[in-house]
This record gives sequence, structure tokens and C-alpha cells, in this order.
Amino acid sequence: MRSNKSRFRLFLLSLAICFSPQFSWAAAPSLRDQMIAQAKKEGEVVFMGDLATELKTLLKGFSKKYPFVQLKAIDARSEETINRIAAEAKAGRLSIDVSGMSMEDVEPLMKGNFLAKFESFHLADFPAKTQPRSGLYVVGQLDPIPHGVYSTKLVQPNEVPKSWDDFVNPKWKGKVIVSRSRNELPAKLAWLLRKGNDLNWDASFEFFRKLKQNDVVLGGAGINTHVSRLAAGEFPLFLFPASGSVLRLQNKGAPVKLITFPNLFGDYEVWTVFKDSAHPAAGWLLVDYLISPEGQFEYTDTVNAVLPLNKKASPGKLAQALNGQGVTPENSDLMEPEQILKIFTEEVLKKAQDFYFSTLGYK
Amino acid sequence: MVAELNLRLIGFWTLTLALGIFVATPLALLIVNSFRTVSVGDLGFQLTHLTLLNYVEAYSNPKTFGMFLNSLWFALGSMGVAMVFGCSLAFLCERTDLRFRQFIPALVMIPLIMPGVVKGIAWIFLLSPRIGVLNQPWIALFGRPLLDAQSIPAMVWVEGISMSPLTFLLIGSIIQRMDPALEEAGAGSGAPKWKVLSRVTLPLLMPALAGVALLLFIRGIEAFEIPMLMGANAGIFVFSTNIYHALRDASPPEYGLAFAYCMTLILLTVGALWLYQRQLRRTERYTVVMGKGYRPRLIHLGRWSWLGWGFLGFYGVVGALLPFFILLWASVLPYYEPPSWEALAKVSLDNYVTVLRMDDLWDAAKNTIILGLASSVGTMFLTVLASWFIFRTYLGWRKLLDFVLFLPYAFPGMIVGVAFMILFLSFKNPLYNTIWIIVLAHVVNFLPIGSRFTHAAIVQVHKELEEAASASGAGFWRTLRHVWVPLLTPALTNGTLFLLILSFKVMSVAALLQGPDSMVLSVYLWNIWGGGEAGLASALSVLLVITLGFFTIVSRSLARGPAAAREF
Amino acid sequence: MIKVERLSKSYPGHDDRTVAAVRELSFQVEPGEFYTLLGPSGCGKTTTLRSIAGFERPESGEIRIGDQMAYSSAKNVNVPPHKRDFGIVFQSYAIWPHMTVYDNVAFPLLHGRVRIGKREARERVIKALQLVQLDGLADRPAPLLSGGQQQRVALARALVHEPRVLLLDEPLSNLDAKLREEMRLEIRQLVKRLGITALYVTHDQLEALTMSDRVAVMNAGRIVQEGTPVEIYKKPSDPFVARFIGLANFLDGRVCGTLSDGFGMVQTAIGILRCHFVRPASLDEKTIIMIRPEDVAFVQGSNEPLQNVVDGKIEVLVFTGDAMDCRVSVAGQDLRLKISSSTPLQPSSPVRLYFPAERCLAIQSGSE
Repeated sequence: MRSNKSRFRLFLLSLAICFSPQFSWAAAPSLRDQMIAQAKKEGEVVFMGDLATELKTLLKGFSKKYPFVQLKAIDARSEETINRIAAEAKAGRLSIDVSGMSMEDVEPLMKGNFLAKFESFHLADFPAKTQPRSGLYVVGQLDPIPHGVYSTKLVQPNEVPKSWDDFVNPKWKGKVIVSRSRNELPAKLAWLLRKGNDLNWDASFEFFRKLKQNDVVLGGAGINTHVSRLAAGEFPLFLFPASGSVLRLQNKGAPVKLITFPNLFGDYEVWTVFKDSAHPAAGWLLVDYLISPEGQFEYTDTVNAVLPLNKKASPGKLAQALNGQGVTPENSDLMEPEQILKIFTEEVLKKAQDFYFSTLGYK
Repeated sequence: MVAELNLRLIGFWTLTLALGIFVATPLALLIVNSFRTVSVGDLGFQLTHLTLLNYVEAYSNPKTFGMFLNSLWFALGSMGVAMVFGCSLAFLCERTDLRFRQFIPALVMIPLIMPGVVKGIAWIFLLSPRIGVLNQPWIALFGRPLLDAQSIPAMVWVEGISMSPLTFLLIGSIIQRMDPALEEAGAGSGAPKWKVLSRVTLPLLMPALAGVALLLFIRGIEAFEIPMLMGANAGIFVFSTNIYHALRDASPPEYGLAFAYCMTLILLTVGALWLYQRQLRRTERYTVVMGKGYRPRLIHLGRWSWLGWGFLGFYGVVGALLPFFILLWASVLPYYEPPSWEALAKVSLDNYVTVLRMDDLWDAAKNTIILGLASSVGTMFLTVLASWFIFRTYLGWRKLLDFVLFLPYAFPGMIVGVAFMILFLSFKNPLYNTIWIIVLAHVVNFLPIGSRFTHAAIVQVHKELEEAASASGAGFWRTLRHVWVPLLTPALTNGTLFLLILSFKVMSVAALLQGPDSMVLSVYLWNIWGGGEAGLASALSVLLVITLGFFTIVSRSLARGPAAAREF
Repeated sequence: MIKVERLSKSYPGHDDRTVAAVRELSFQVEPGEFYTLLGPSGCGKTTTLRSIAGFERPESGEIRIGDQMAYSSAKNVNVPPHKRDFGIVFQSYAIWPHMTVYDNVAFPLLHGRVRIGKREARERVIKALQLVQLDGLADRPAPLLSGGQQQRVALARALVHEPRVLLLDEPLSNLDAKLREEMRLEIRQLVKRLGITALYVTHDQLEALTMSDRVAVMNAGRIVQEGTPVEIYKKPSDPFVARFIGLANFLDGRVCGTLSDGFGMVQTAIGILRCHFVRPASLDEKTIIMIRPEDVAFVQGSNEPLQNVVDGKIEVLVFTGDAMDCRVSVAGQDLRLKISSSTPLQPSSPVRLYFPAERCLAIQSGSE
């Protein structure tokens, strides 16, 4: 629906440009050209988010295409980003232009009315149900959550879990670690195990209770640290890691492998631009690049182990590595952004969090 | 003449008010906002949304009690460990005839070149429950690990070793200042050595020791880096990490709650500081300043020297060698593995190459150098002026200035960071997001330490040296240039170098104030570690330690005077 | 050259009470004179010196140095120290440890009120060092000097810019006895040779007596007696002065006969003595008789004087090297004698003592 509407709008826009008396056909400035002209004056774009370091060091294509735009990146988690944006917007001095985050972090920004609408040709190439109708943010990539990661040294091939029950096998008593930060997972698992279109809390709760009975090890928030420790031989199994950290260690030869039986819950990676930011045009160019086929390729080639959603983009090295371990869009549960927001409300997430902490025994 | 006096008054009040504002603002911000329901973007001095809920929530929460106990055990435990190490080493160094004991101070100082983050990382490697290098033999022997890195005992151990150098210095100078005649009188009365020790020496030292213990307790209560690295991940929170958690991990940040906790922390530290001041006065009554160059009788160790050597060796190994070598090991592996023959095959210098190639590392290094130089020079400049006013003039309000200098000791660095961020967001200024806001916060944080150096330095310049210049006809500026500056320079250099090294290590202030152009090395390292890159973090740690070690050696060779040896 | 008029200064003491250090002090030092302020610690002598230098600010009074009004409370004048013309030697010498001997002495010439070039300065510095016999040590770093050497450097530094006034604050108290003796003479000779005015502060009465032209004995912030050393010693106007300078025997007495020619009879515990009076005294007036130990003589043989002879018993004999310190009890009073060490005496032997009338001084209050 969204793409049809936008296609029509763009058609009208191009018509208007073609027949507008001020411009000749040959020299009609496209939206991108306008943005480029403006961005040249702005000279820089400021990105804030927890992908900052990666973006800055590895987005070569962007720098080559728009050499007049300097990319400044602030490494920060989404809570910090949100606070900072709110504080600065209120003071009337918003220095952040672009951010990248997950779906749940978009909501407070929407509510606070900080987001600016984003439009681009590339959006036409995305699967129909992955973009929000409001246009206030862009869904760029799919980050499926692997069910687990195992140490090839401590787990034989025939012992690798292939279902949820395998995780709570008594032989793994006291040897499975979970992360504190994955506390929304009871809700996500409830969706994966759903009956019809409703969350299946019972099945989800049952799983986590069994985990507790099996002396699951409570780890802190650092997912990367747990994967490192698993690679070092501290644990055989880690539930719900992040694909990126596992791939990184695999590249270095660490004895780790993903556990990915269908279905995988897919998180969306979202890009946002902000109202009244310091460099709006440069920000537009950045996001436009990030959703373009070349941008998506470069992104999934060097920046992040996620799957590109632009159908015209070919998967980069990292995405390919994921594909090879069973992480594909086909294996994942794709949802509409609005649906995500409707189902995974604050109450639902709080319920999941409370359950997670209390059942597993986090203080 | 009248103009000169007024100039002095103006100078005094300018300095006092400027410092007072920068020191008082954090406190004021804290107090005000702990009584408000604060929301994102609505921080500051406005008296809106007043409430007591923050305190109610903070203290009715059962977790608060757990955190309070954790903090207490952590502070007491690390104080205990530090006292054991510090006292024993000071005793060995000052009162026994152990051979080569003149090298003990250098050995004791070695843990100082490792920032808290680095120590935390190293000890996590050493004490990981299953793969920790120290735990594996223990598991083989006893079936359970010696210590879990993520536990209070382990944290106490690491923090205690961290504080041992300071303890050694303080107790060493106390022992040095004791009049040996008091003990010899005991011996002359026919009492055996151990009786003299227990009935004369120890009771004499007790008030001073109690003072040192109090200081250590305060540092333990405020500690941030070790509890953050080793405890927070396992849900073991102390005051500082709880506050950080409320500000960083909670979404939206729980400012009010964080500030309520801060107030408790500040009350605790201020209370302990007050006790310390009282204790200091009692100590001065007991300590008899020695006459000229009189050395105490040394205890002959004989067969017991082996014990002394063993203890020293133990300290050297656990304090410096073990952590450093485990970091070296981790830094040459692509991903962390406990030492083994197979792992040896994977050794390479790749991590170092990667780290040195990271552009933002050099940005962070540059920022850290600017931060270090600016904050150390800035602090010393301000404190030398302040010390001059306090010790060389008779202005009535100079006790106020002294108080302002000492007050920041009660604030955890993190709180200063938060307060500065809010302060500078509330009005238009070019400083926000730059390294300079971190510099200012560091200066406030360092004032008490800087004034320790400058007080001692100013007092040492005898008034008559100044008067002799005056009598020779030199005015204010000439006296300053030719008498004050040359005489103060050694002490000021010592202080500046000390603060320079310190600002490299401190992480708590910068953690909350960083901007796109103001990343500093300590936070940078922490981020790398948090990102799971154990190898890169270890490589950077090793490089940092080597750099800091180099700086320290350079400072020691530049240092002059007895006070210098004490501080280093 | 130095004129001090009604100088007053007090300090906050313990228990919040102010202690008057100097009370309405007035004195004058003539050009070229060697004037000493002598007194016990706390008498205000150092405060006075420092006020003249400008390091202390008095509460009221007036100080003139040469032609300059250095301080005047009435006219609200207070010239800062570096603008007053004086040299000072501190008790601690205050030699700058980061400079050499040369640099220390050259400082007033290079950075003082009247600055001269380095080459000119060199000549004068060498001359100053020669004055104090340190010309070989010009390049020695200050911390490597002995106490005596430091003191000479301090002296050279104080004199190099040829001030008209030299202030000395107990400069000899940190030296050992032998050195002190040498320096006493040297300092006086130096000052006299250069013809400058010296104000000397000390608690050592020997220094005061041997070095000064005039001495002012101070106590509790006031001058008790001012005079030449001989006057102060031989004619103390106050028991305090008498006790402070040298040793003295004191006897309470009452005038029991009219005075004539400056002598009169006084009834004392050891008998009636004929004593010397400096000022007229009335009958029955209470007085204190002072006689110095070295002035009491033994009656030898049959040549006995008519008056002022008493019987006593030797209690203690102490050999002090050049003399003998002798305690004799006379009619219950303890008297102290100083006699030659070769006098044949035994403890507990009876003796007869003679007090020459000119030496029995009746102490009468001097001017306040």
C-alpha cells in the first residue's frame, strides 16, 4: 500500500518538475540533487547511535559518493541518544541529524515529535509490509535473533539443540547462560509460539521456567562479553546472542556456531532523521545511501551482520555468513512495523521484563 | 598601600567565588533535583515538580538495602586489604633491615600505572569461574573455583590492591615521623621487643592509622571502575554503579532516583570526612616531630627475612606481574583463551596492529593529552593561588577557601560529570560537547589533591625568604619571579605530573560528558571491552600501561625533594 | 637616623584575648650608632624591628628612617618594605637555597630599588663578599654552606646596596659559642667601618654589652631602661634590668638614715649597709639593694674595713674555669659571689664579707 501511494506521489512530483515553468527538462533538479547542493553547504552529518564506530570506519562508499560531507559519529546507546535528542531539541540546538535504532526505541521519538518524514526512490524496492505508513522512519535491515550460539569444543554436533526443548535438556544443567539485556524475549518467544495472532504467554513462560529449573546462569547485559567467554570455553551454550558478535569471533577462528532453527524473530534496524536538525540535507543523503542497493551491500558486507531488506541489494559478506548458518528472511518472522508497535506495547514488554527478571532470578 | 590591600581582597574573593561556584553547583543541582520529578530534558535549577517521591522510592525499595550492604562490605573489605598490604610493606620498608628495602617504594607504586579499567579486565581474565587462570588449578585440586571475578570478595581484593600504594605512602610517612626515643624509652624500661611494639608503638600509631583507614573507606564507598567492570554485570551494585545504572541503563534515565542515591553517598562521605578531620587533630597531638636526622632502630629480621621477601614477592606478583602478563597473553590472541599449547600457535600481533590503525584511537589519545595537560596545569595554577591566600595572607575568610578546596573530595567523579552536563545544557555556551567541559569537571575533581601539593609547597617557602627579597628592594612581581617561582617549581612539577597521570586513568567523569570530538582513552578502552573485543581491549590496555609507566619513570626522575618521593 | 614614636601593636592571643606586643614605644637611634633592643622572648623587640622594616603593620605611632616617613598612623602612611632603605639579617639568615652565594648577594643590586647592570654589580658583590671574608665562595650553591657561612652571606647581602640602616634580628643565636664570640666583634667592626646605623635585637645580654653603643632593655612591650652598656650594667634602674644584665644579689631594705653625697644607710636583713643612691630618697623609703657577685670581697687578714662587713658561711663552691662561683649564707640570706679560682676556700668554713659602699646600689625606679 505504502509503495503504491509513494509511487504515485513521486510520479506527480516528477510531472510537476517536468512541466514547471521555472525549470527546463534537461536541468530538472531531482530531490537528491537538491539535497546534494544543500549538503555541500552543510559540510557534515552527525550520527548518533550504537553503530557509530562501525559506520564511521567502514562507510567508504558514502564518503566516495559524497566527499563534501564529513561523517561524525557519536557512539551511544539508544537511551542516551533519546535523552540527548530530547534535551537538545528542547534547548533548540539539535546537533544530531541521523540515528539508527531498533523498533522499540522509535516510539518515544515519535511520541516526542522529534522525527522528520523521510522519502526516497529506494523505498519502492523494499518488501511491502516492512515500511511504516507514517513515513517517519525507515526500516533498513532485518536483524534476526539467533536462538543461540554454542561452543564447538564443548558441544558435539549431535548435541546441538534443534528445538526449544533441547535447550532445557538436563545435560545442560548449569551450563547455559542468558543475558540480562534480552529481557523482552518472553514476549518475542510468545509471538513465535503464537496461536493465531495472539501471544502465547503460557508456552513462553513454561520455557523460561524450565530454564530456571535447569540452573540457567544469569549473565549481565553485555552480550558480546558472553559470546567471548563462550568462545574462551567458559560455557557451552548461550541463549539469544547477537549475530554480529558471533560472526566477528568466527572470523577470527573461534570455535563458535549459531543455532538457528525456524522461526527466527526478526528485529528491524531503523534509520531516522530529525526535525530542525543542524544538517538536514546531509542527513537525508546518509539515510538515502544506507537504503540504496550499494549502501545495503556495503553495510551488510562490512558494518553489521544483518540482512538487507532492499530487494535490489545483494547480501554482503556478513549477510552471506548469516545466510550460511540458516539466518535468512525466509526463516524469519517478518512483521509490519505498526503491527510490531501494536503488539509489543509498553505493557507487553514490561510484562515480559518482569517475568524474565523474576522467574530467572535477576535482582 | 590601600590599593595593594584591595587588590589582594579582590583577588581572594574572585578566586573563592569562582571556585565556590564550580564546586557548589554540582551540590546545589543535586539537592534541588533530588526533590523534583525530573523528566528528560527538564533538568536544572527550576523549582518545579517538587516531590519527595525520589527518596521514598529509593529507600522503600528492598534492593536499596542490598546495594547499601554491598557498598559497605566492599568499602570495608578493600580498606582491610589495603591496610594489610600498606602497613606490612611500610613496616618492612621503614622499620626492618631487609636488604634492598630502598626499592620497596618503587615496587609498591607499580599498580598505580594500571587504570582501574585495565585492572578490572585483567582480573576478570584471572578469576573467571571456569577458565580463569587462577581458578583452573584450584578447580583441579578442590573442585571449585578460588574466587569468582564477579563477586564481592574478588572486587574487594582488586580494589584493595589498587589502594595499597596510597596506603603505603600515608602509613610510611606516619612511621617516619614517629619519634624513636619514645620506643627506646620503652626498651630502656626493660620491656621486650614485642611488648614495646604492642604497648608503645601501636597505640601511638593508632590515631593516625584510624585516619588512614577512614580515608580508604571513603574511597571504597565512592569507587566506580572496579565495581563497574567486575560487579555490575552480575547484578552486584554499589552506590556508584547503581547511580550510573539509573542514569544510563534505565530508559528514560531515572535522574531523581540517581540524585537521591547521590545524596546518601555524599552524606556518608561528608560524615566520614568530618570524622577524618577530627582524627587528624588527635593525631597531631600524638605525633612527635623528630629532631634532626635521627633514625630509628631497625628490627633485625634474620631468619624472618624470607617471610619479608615472600610477602614482597607475593605483592609484586599479584599486584603487577599477574595482571600484566595475563593482559599480554590476551592481547596476542585473536579471541581469548586460557593459556595452553594450542593457543600458543595462534599468537600474533594483529590486535596491536588493528588498535594502532584505529583512527579514533588517535583522536582519543590527542583528547586525553589535552585533557591531562589542561586539567593538571589548570588545577595546580588555581591551587597554588589558593594556597598562597590561605597561608600567606591574614584575610579573615580564608578558611572558607580551604573548605571549598576540600569539598570536592566528597563527590564521586560521576556526579560532577552529570552536574556539569546539565549546567552547560542550560545556557548557551561554546563548551558543551567539547573536551573543555571535561577539563572543567576534572579540575573540580582534582582540587583537593592539587591543594595537598601546593599547601606543602607554600608552607616550605619560609616567610623570611620572601621578606629578604622585600628588604633587598624587590617588589611583588620581582619577588614572585625570582623567589617564589624557582622555589615552587619542583613541587608544582610533581603535582602537575601526578595529576596528568591521574587524568589519564580516571574514567568516571568523562563517561558522561563525552561528545563526538571529546572521546578519551579510558572511556574508549571501556567501550572496546564492552563491545566484546577482549583481544583489542587487552592490546590497548598493555599499550596504556606501558605509556603510563613511561610517564611515571620520567616524573620520578624529574621529581625533587622529600615530598616528591612521598607522592610518587 | 631611626626615629620611633609611640609605636603600638597588639596580636590576638589564645583565648581570644589580645596581647599587646608593643606599647607606646619611643626611641631614637643616632646616625652611625649601634643600638640594641635587649629583652626576654615576648618583650616586643622583634615586633619593633619588623615594624621598622615594614613586615609588620603597627596600630599606631610613627616611624622615620632617615628622611623618610616610613609609617605614620596619623597621616595614614605606610611605605612597603621594598621601598624603605635598610638591610636586614634574619635569625634564620633566609638565604635563598636555589641560588649561589653570588646570586644571593647580587640580588638587591639587580632587582632592588636602585638597579644596576650586571657588570657594575659584579664589582660591588665581590667587595661585599670580601668584607665578610667569603670572596672565595662566590659560586658555591647556597644549601652547601655552613651556618656561619650563611650568616656572612646574609650580612653581605644586607650591606651590598649600601643602606643607611642595618637591622639585625638575633643573627647569632643559631651559631655555636666560639663562632658567636668571633662574630660579635666582627659585626661591630664592620658596622663601624662602614659608618652605618645598626639596630640590633637580641636576648643575649653579653652580645648587647659587647657590641652596642647604647642598649634599650625591653619588657612587656616597653623600654624599661635605656643607656650605655656601662650605665645599664652598673646603674640599673629596675630590678628587672639588674637581673637581666649579669648576675646580681638583691636585698630588701629600708632607708634608715638621711642621704649625703649620694650615700645613705639602709637597714637590710643582713645588717645596716652604707649604700650608693643615684637619686634622692626619703627616710623609711623601701628600696632594693643590688650588689654584683664580683664586687663582694673577702676580708683578709687584719685590714678590716669599718663598715659593710658581715659574717657568713660558705655553702657551695663551684669551679667555673676562669673563676669560682661561691654561695654564702649570711643571716639566712643566700648570697652569690664570684671569686678567683685560686682562692683557698673550703665549704662550710666561716668567712667575713665586705660590701664596698659604691657597689651597693639602691635600685630606684627609672623613667618609665
